[in-house]
Amino acid sequence: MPDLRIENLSFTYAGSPDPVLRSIHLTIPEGQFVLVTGPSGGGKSTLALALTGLVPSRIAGHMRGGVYLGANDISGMEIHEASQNIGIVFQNPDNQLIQLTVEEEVAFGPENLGLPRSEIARRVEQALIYTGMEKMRREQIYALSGGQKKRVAISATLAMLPQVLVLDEPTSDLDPVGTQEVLSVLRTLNKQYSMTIVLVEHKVDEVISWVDRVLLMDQGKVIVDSPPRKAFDDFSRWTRVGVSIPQMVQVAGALPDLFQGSTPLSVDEVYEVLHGTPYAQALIQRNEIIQGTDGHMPVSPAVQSILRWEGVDLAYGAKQVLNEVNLKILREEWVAVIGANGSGKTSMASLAMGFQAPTKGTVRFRDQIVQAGRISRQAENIAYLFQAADNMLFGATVEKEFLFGFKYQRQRRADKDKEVAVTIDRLIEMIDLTKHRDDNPFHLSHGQRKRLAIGVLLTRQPEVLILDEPTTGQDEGHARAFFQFLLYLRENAKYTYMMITHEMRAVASYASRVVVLRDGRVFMDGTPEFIFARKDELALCGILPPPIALLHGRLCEGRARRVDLRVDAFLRSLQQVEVTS
Amino acid sequence: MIIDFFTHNLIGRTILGYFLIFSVATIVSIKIVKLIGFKGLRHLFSYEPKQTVIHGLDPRLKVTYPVLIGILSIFLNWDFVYYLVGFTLIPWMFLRPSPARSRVIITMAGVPVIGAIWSQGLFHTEGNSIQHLIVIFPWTLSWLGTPGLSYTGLLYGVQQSGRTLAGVLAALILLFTTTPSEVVWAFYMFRLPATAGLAFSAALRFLPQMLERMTVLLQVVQVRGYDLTVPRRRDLGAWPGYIKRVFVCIPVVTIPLLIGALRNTSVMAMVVDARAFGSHNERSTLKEHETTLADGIALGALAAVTLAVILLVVLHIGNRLI
Repeated sequence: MPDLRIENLSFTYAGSPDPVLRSIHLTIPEGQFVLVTGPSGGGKSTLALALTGLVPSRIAGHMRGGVYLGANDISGMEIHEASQNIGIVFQNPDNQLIQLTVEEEVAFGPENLGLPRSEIARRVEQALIYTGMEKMRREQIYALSGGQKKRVAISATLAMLPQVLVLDEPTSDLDPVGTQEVLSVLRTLNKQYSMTIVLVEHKVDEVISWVDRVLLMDQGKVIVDSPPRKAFDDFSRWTRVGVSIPQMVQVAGALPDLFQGSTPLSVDEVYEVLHGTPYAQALIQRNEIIQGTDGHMPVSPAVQSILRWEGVDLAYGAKQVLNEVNLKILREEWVAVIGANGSGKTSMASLAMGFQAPTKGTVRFRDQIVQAGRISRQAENIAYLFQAADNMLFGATVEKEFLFGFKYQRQRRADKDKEVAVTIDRLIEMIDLTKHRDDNPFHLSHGQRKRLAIGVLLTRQPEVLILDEPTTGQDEGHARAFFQFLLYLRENAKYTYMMITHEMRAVASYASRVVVLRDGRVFMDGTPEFIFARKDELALCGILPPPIALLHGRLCEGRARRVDLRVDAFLRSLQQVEVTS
Repeated sequence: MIIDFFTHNLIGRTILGYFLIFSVATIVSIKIVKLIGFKGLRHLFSYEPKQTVIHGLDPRLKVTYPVLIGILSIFLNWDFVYYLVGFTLIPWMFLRPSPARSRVIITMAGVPVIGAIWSQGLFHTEGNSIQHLIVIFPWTLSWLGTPGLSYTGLLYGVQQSGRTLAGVLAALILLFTTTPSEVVWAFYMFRLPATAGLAFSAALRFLPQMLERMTVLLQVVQVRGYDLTVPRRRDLGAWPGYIKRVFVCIPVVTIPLLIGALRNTSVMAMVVDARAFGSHNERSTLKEHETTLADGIALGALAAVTLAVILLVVLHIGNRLI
């Protein structure tokens, strides 16, 4: 198969003064697995579109240079011709599924290629097995969860067996085990068929051990281009653009005497080095000291639950989504709800907001039963940040967004007697958008828009914030800034958070409690340090702990009751060990 | 005395006239909301996954069916068009749609019928004659351009709506029981451009997707505190505020909806291209429809109806008077 060459490629979107790609010059040899990462707005997705010929043929703008697959100029080809060589999986699964059932969707591409029926059947079967969707082949697509739809989208492209496969954030809606499964499939295709794979992804930690080459992009340029073990020779190039160094690389960097300049990329590699050292032995000793605790947070009887699910079932026809859910969320908790795709996380949250009614049981805010359909009433108590926060903004300026809320929102009974406690000035200041007060919300950065969406929800002075996948589509730097903002809000206004996420490092860093769902039931419930120590049970729920937690667990020979969740905490544990030894 | 007031007094006749003109439109609108609601509309043009004999029929038959029924209904007069309506009810007996969908079907088939009959009743004219009018409107209603409620107009409406009903009932069978890939296959087998089949099925998916997106947007505005809770009937003071809020909400919801729809369409076009649609003249399929006895019976029934209509028209028994 030929090489993929990008020659002096620049692209400027129509109406934009600045180019989004600036003189990119690369050659990707046949069969290479390439990670493209970097901050949002750095040009990654545009590069992906250019590799498939969609830029410039379907996206308006000015392009210089070209993309070639061997001698073929991809930029000059018809898309349906280019698509037989280069396949793409887009970011949003909802926009790229055009058929009614899983099987029909995956078969659509091979059918268009006019392949024999037996070959179409073989490809459909294989593609569905690769993504773990073979049991759902007859399911209706609209009934699938976001992550399941993503798997179907990947299967549909895999079934085309392209020479080059470009994937724009293919794992953003997937659970951690699903992410690893998809990466494993991509690696298999890459090895077995010499398929060239270009993966645009923010999850560097999860992806790094699978790839052959890393491209770090910023402001339309490639600023790092090297094999993964060389990519982190200079940490500052990564931290400067807000992309975190993989946890295992950080550990190796902090223990130079043991790693001697090598760059491990996986937990296995770090384990091999640390195993049997005094560090590991002392971690085991430390683990034995804390055997007595059980991971359940001590709850004072005085602390009232703010949200309660009491014997809740939810079914869509014959499909049972939630099954006898009993759960209490206490005031000022930061509860992370995690689980595999389709385990019922969003459904559980939607019941609390009154988007729908449970088929059995009740959901309560304090002692009041949540009435389905009375959403604006429930919004007085609970704010719901949708996954696509952009859908929540309607105003022409930041200030008008707040005015919309104050002008049209349902009047609280309590507000009639007292002056409204929050003011626009205070809220805009709180979300750090004072300088952008008169700006159009859609001229703000992604992170700023997310903050604005939260800010307008705060006009209702809610007590609980439900955050549905709050970091999807955000690069790491922006996600971190967003979580810091949430921390600041929580410390100042004593909010309770219920966060649905697949981002385990965020759970490890910020959540005070973790609830794990499995097939619509509450399967585990406890503090993150204890929950992430139970990796085998978590695997049943599609969850993989963060690498540092996995390493801690392995070094303790699987007997750890609790694990460190952050690299700095883990390294501190090792330093304490050094002192004691 | 009351009858006298409404038939001979100018004020009474004016009130009756306004009532006749606007009551049906109002009742029909309320019935739509009551029977199916906003969320029920998503069932309108969407496939209903079931294992029935109608679902298993050859997609080519199902694509042909509404076209044929539509054509046949044009040639028949109203004495016979309702026999055709009766024929179009037969597949529904096999289909046995869910209660939610049945409500949608009844509403969506019934509303145009009632609307057509009533509008013809109001606006049908026969020169300067007033013999056909059941109710003659007073001069106070002359600005509406209708002399009154016409008997022949109502009859004409019944005849016209028979045609509408036959077409709607046949078209809904296609929509409820045929997947997009089956439609594309049928178009391909008819040597029609597969693009037309894809465009047709994409259009069918457009409305349910749009309604789903609208549901999310309505949830969003309410999450932001916008009160769309319907007031109690007796709470008369709350209704003006509610109606105002509904009107204010329309641009808030529709503008992002339209922008989103256009954006989705553009991505969908890219996806279709990226899956090599149109790259080969010959297109194959994962599934090939195997002709069954049911196909034979359905084809026979359609052929018999077509033949019967041709005979009725040729023999001047049931042809439409133009």
